Amino acid sequence: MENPDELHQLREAKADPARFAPLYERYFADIFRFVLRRVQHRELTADLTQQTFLKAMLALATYEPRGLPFRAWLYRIALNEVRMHWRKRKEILIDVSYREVKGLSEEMGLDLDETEMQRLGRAMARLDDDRARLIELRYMDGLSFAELGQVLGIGEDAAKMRTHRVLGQLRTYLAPRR
Amino acid sequence: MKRQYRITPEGPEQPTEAEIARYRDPQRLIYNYTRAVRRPRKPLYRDPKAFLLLLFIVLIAYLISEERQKQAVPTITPTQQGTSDR
Repeated sequence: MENPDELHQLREAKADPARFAPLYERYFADIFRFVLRRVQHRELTADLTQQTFLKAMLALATYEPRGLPFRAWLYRIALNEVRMHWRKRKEILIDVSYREVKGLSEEMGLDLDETEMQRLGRAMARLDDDRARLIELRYMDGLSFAELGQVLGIGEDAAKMRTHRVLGQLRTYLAPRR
Repeated sequence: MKRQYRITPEGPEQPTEAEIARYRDPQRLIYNYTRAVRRPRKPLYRDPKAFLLLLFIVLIAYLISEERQKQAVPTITPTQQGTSDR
């Protein structure tokens, strides 16, 4: 849910794009970290982040709050920018810390040790693109289901349901083979 | 596209707030925005695509006007011409 301060800033920015700066200042670090987690190169991250805000400014007139966080809308644009950057890549390597997968490990009943984390990494690598993205957004970026829904263009309940299904699939991949 | 995950205790080094702030540049953003929304300086006739479009429109207009003129002038057939001579 947006706070009144953010709504006010949004209204001001819609009326005059030069007043977009407070929103930029407010979310720059969030978007920078979000992009960096994926591309893992600071200069490139800075460019993609700048591009994300430019696209947001250009599309601001079409943005309607509808009670959903503005940050999630920015994440959606950022994710698109990252996808555009990745479009010619066949394989990507994502570096993650134990802290970032802590929630997911708990959900899967795994210990935070090297063997278990390697298993988790291998299981996650078996997920298709859309499912892997969902897990990253929910557990590594820490998005709420409402935010997740907005980023993926689905409702909150659908986001919950989809996450539940992907977790089930991940559990199957993690189950020891007989 | 295939994803690979490397999960390590520390993960990649995270930038500090100060490091992130170095990349923050609202003035560049406003500049880029202004450039993106500004009308193109290049005149229409210098843009090859726009020029071709313009040429096409002129051609269509010319053809329509020619067709209208043809319809407006009554055609005299040779038989009609012979009768009028007598």
